[in-house]
Amino acid sequence: MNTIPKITGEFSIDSFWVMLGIVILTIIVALAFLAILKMEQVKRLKTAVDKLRHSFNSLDEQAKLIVKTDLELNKTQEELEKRLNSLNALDRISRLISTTLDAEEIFRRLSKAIVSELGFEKILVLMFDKEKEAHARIEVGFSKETVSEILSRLVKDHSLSTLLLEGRTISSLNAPKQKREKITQLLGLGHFVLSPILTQDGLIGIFFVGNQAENMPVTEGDEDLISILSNQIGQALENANLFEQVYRSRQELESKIQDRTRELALALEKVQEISKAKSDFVSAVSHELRTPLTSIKGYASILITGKVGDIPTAVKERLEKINKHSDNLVKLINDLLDISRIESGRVEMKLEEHNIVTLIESIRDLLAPQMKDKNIQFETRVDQKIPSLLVDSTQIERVFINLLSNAVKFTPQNGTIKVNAQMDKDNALFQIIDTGIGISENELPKLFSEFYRVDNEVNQVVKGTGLGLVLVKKILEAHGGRIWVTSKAGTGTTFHFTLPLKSQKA
Amino acid sequence: MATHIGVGFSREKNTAAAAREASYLAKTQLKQPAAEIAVIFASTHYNPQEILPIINQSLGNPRAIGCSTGGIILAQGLEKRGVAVLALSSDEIRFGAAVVHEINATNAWAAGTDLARNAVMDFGEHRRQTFILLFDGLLKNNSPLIRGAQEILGKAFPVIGAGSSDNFSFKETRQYFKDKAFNHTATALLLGGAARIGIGSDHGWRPLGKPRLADNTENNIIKTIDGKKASGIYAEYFNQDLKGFSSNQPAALSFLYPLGIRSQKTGEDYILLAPIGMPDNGNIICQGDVPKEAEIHVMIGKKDFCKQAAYNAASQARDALAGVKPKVVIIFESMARQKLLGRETIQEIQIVRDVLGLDVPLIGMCSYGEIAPLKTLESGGEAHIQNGNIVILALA
Repeated sequence: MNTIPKITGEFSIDSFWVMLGIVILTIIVALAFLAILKMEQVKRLKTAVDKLRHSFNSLDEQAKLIVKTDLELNKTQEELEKRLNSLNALDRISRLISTTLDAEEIFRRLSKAIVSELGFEKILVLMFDKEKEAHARIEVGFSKETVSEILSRLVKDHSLSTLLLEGRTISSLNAPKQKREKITQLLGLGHFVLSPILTQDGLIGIFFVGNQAENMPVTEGDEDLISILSNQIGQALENANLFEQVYRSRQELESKIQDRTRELALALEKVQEISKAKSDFVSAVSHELRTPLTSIKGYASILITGKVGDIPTAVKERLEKINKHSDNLVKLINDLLDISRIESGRVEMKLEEHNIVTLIESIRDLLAPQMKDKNIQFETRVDQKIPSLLVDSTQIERVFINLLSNAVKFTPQNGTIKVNAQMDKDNALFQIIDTGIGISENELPKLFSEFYRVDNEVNQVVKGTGLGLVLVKKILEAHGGRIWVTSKAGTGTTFHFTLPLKSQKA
Repeated sequence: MATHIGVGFSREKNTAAAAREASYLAKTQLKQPAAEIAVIFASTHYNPQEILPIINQSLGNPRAIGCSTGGIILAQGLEKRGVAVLALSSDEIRFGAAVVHEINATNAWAAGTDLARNAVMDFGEHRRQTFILLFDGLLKNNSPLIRGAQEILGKAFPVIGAGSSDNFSFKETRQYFKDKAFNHTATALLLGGAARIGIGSDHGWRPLGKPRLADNTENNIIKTIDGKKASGIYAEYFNQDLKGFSSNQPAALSFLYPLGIRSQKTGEDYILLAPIGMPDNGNIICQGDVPKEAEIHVMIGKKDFCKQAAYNAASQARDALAGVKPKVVIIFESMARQKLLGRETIQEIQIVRDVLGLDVPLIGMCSYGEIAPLKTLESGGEAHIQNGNIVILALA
């Protein structure tokens, strides 16, 4: 019979254990289930943490890359800045030393600048004198004793001297081991650059820079900087030297010029004194001669007129000769006096505006009879644009009369005399052209000398004072003009002269 | 009530001439018969034993502090060679100066307490405001020195300062007090009185890569990072590229990529510490303490971040003055920033001048290590030794 056992007080031990077992089993199953759930959670968390750790690590790896890049960037930047600083330093120092031509000033400026501009611990500039001995001109970071030591070792150690005189830039970067050790020993510097200072004459000095500190090695940039700077120093010193030479030469030349000028001034003074003395003498003598001459002429004229009685014809002829020669003498004296007065400035030119064409025509009229006698053609060609000139008409008439009279005198029968007048920017230019006997070339320079007469057949016959052309020259120069002559013997002569278009000193 | 300031600089080749010129210029601007205080910075080209007596005599024997530096900061720019003098005289600002010698790893804390105590004694009973500390930049661990000073002055007392430096040769630096120069020494100047003082600092470096854990540290030595040799972090990032990391000498490059120790207090600030030594055992030696279990990053700097940091620092200093124009600005700037910025250092100085005033006298130095409080309020103004920072003091 299947009946549900009653739950009576008679509860069997077996049922209890079965119930307990079931409960425990249920609990275990539940716990297991929970554990599985937890494990799943933990697993998920672990995965998440792993992912996070992985991301962290990836980020960290990227951070390492960033740091490496940053490090390289910093290094590059540092090098760039160093280069830039070097360039700026080079620019500043170059300007300082190239703007003076005094060697001492170059070193003074250099000494100040390289301390502040170059970042080296130690700097030494050695210069060689004419005997090729080295002297320290700039020292930074070296004691006087160390410098003396360096100089004495340079002298004693020939291989070292030779090394240093090679003329190349050497540094602790590029020098072969032996050389490097020698220089390190000499300077007491582990890091250095050594560069020659050169001019056209060769090696004149050496530029050392360096650092003792291990963390301050020199770079290629430092080599370039010191090499360029050494060149600049060499150039600046060479320029200073050349300037000194040129300056000295100029001083000598100036001194010589001054001496010469002084001598010439003295000579000129003497000449002027002599000339003045001559003029004064001539003037004085002429004055003294004029008075008796006037008497001679006067008395001769009276005798010729017969006022004191009849005189024989032969006597009359001789008296006429006396008169004529007296006239010549008076003319000579007057010319001399005129020249003397013009030279000494005692003659004041009365400058007024005159039409040159009118002037020339008046003189043509004056000389027409003489020209007619010799059948001489007279032509004028005057530029009508020539304005009125500011001249002393009396004196200029004398110029034209003198020159045209000479032209008539020296032109043979059937010849031609031309008067041309034109102008340029500043002057009116005149030419008196004849077809006369001409003047030989060797006589032309003497033509305007006092008392000079060309040696020709005309002058042997026709007497003259030799002062006409001198007077003409003086008058023209007093007007601010000048005169010159061109001529060919046997063909003719041309006298050229100028008169200023504007007012000039008379 | 008046404060007189004079700043002089010379780059004369001759040491004595440079000292004379710099002190003459400072005194001329000071317009007083003597200076009360002098701050002197000089590059390593000059023998301080020669320049200090000349400057002291010229300025009427003031209380002088100073140090050697690889870069002098002036209004016109950065000078890598020269002597700079700041001369101060005031009837409103109070000063106290002190010096401690022979500082080493074991006595640094005591030295710090002595320094602060002596400065306080010299200062007298006046309102104290700021402590300027100049230390030997080649000293391995400066944190005890600062803690010692804070023991006397108070943890939240404004302490700023810088480590003497040279031109990255890490050979020898000098600290100046009155007319003598020393090494392994710290000098200090306590300021206060009726002065208004503004302080600002920032660095501009950013964390790079995943955070690491400095699981084993001992004071300023990091032994392991993420369970591995500490120096491995740099080997990982730089491989063969970094020279000098295999020796005890610090590499200039480590200044560009310092470690950033995340402040455990604030969580936001990073204290920059550049490795100053990496011996063969794989340790990294820093200039300041590194807490155990500190989160560490390799930090990377950029010119623009640096300039922004300068602006931030200058603005902090200006804001602290609450509208009062400063009479003088003193800058302590890490040599790392000089290396990073290069020719753009002048722009950084110009930024500071634009914020604080173009006509305000300015003087400063480039340092191996700076002391400055962290930026955030949560830090409580506590000062730490750091690297890569620009620290600005504006005195009004």
